[in-house]
Amino acid sequence: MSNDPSNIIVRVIDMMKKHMRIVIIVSVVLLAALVGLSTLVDRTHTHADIEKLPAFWAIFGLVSCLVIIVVSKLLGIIGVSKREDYYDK
Amino acid sequence: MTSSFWLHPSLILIAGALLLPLIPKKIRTAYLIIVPLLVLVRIITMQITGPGIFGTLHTFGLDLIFGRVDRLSQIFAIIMGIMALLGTVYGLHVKENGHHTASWIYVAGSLGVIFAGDFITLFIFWEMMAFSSVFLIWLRRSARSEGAGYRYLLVHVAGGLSLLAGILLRWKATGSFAFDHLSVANPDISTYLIAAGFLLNAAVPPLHAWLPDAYSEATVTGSVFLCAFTTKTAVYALIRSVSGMDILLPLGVAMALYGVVYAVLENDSRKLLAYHIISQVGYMVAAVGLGTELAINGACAHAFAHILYKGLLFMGTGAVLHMTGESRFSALGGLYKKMPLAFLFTLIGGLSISAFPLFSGFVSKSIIVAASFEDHRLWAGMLLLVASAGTFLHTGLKVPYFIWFGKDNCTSDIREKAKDAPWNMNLAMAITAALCIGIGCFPDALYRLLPFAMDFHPYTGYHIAETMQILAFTALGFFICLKILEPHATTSVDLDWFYRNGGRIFLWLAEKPAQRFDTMVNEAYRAVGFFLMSLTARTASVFDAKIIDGVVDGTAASVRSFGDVVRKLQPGQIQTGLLMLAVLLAVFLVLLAFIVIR
Repeated sequence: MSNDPSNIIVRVIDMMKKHMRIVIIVSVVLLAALVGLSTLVDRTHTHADIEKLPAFWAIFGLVSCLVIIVVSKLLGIIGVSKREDYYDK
Repeated sequence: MTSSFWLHPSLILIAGALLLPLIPKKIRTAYLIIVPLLVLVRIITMQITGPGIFGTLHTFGLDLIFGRVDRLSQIFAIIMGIMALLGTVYGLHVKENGHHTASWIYVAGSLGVIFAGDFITLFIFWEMMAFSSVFLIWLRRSARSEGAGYRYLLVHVAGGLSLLAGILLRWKATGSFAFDHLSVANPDISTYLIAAGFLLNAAVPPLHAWLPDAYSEATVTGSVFLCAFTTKTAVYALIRSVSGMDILLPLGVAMALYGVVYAVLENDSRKLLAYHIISQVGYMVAAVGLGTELAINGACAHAFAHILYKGLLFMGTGAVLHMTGESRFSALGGLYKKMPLAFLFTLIGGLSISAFPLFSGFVSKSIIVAASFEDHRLWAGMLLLVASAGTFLHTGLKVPYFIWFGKDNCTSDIREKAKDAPWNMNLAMAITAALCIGIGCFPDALYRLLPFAMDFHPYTGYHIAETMQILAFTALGFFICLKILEPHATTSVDLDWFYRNGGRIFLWLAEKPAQRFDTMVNEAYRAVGFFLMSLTARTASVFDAKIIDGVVDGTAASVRSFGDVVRKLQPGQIQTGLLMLAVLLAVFLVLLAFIVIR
């Protein structure tokens, strides 16, 4: 029973939930390590000069994500979001 | 009438679908697996016999080509064959024969389009797809799916008419029905009409609203089929006919962004995935617009990978819907203990669509991005990368998080029903997930199938570093904004608003102002009518005596001269007339639909 794949998934998740603080610390360390390692990668063949800035793609990812959320939430506010039964009337 | 025999894979599916009701229960499951398996084997054997023109039929002065086999049609046929098998395995538990019949005829239509060498054959199979797939929506048998199905059919009939009009105009101008590359450098009206028909099926805005509307209301297994065939067959048709058409690049990029922006607001998991089809097909449409060999390879590879991971995502969320009867985030949450396998498979689908290294999207999407950079379209490449951040945000994070983790919004009834799906669903998901990872780890297997030779290596240090940074910091953004992203029970209005509310506006116009006018006329009639009536009676008696007798003699002559006019009309003009009639019919259908459909 314990070797059942679905059981293993649940156990792993439960363990991570139990040690949430460690998971968060490890994630933050990994993010920092990723940015650090990326500066070591060969950057002679970039598409644009701006990419040569350190952590460019990290900032790009974060900003893209936030812009998408803000734009769509604004769309929701100006009237795209309607009550669930909007078309059922 | 000449013909050469060539076993069309669609024929196997159609025959299989027609024989299905006669199959005894005992061997039904085996039969359901064997038929699509035979189709796949048939498609793979074409790989051995090699390219060529097969299955030609000369009839009614037309040269119909049912089997144009080349590298482009091959790669699309292979993935359609694989998906037909996986989709059928996923739906093995479905007892209703109609469901399997509709799916198979739908796939047959798609394969028919892919192997078609002329526009007449293409059009027949194109319509077959629309009219069979609508049953995958209706079979859900809810009031909403009934409406969504009619709207789906309406939109596709309109798109089909545009395609037909383009085909006929082109035939008139060139005398050819050949389904080849149209001149995109000097496009005429026929090119635009044909492209519009294809773009509608590819769900390019503003012709896209049918997709989320229909796919979210279709049956659980129906959506697994729908998400694969219609849009990607359209991508194939676009590659074949209008690759290099400039406008497709901005359209595709806009599409990629449109899908991810709308997905933020979406509360229904399957509708969210539907918006991501629009986004992902946007990459392919952009690639078709670029039109370079690398870009076309990218479009094909991405279509191949996309069909698998999108199918997997619809299977995973479909499993939740199948077990719990619920697909809205605002009514789910915290299910990881109940449905861990569905979670794992959906996560694999999510990582694949988000282009994580070692998953399929990474090796396909990057070809398109690289092609746009190589073509010096920096803006296109950058915006496509913005869209890929959005893809991970929703499909990789939002979908798994708000179904399997997050706030538990489940009613006790849903919590009780939630458990891992039947074996056949899990089997289909496991195979699809394995293929997603397999393609990601061994991209050369996929690259070998692509239409053009290329020297492309996705696993470079820079590319991995770039992708991982974008993805990891998107995840950071997700967890920062977690509160804002919490699902609410809302629906988003899209351009389908116009035809969903158009009917209501039309009815209102018919009721209120028209009625008022009617009353006004009645009043006026009552006031002056009596006087007019006596006046009319007097005039009529004079009219009858003096004029009618004269006219009757003249009528015969008029008819004869009208006959002369019609006879002198050039056949071409009559065709134009027929075309006008088709256009009028389309307008009439749209109006009718406004009235009938809410």
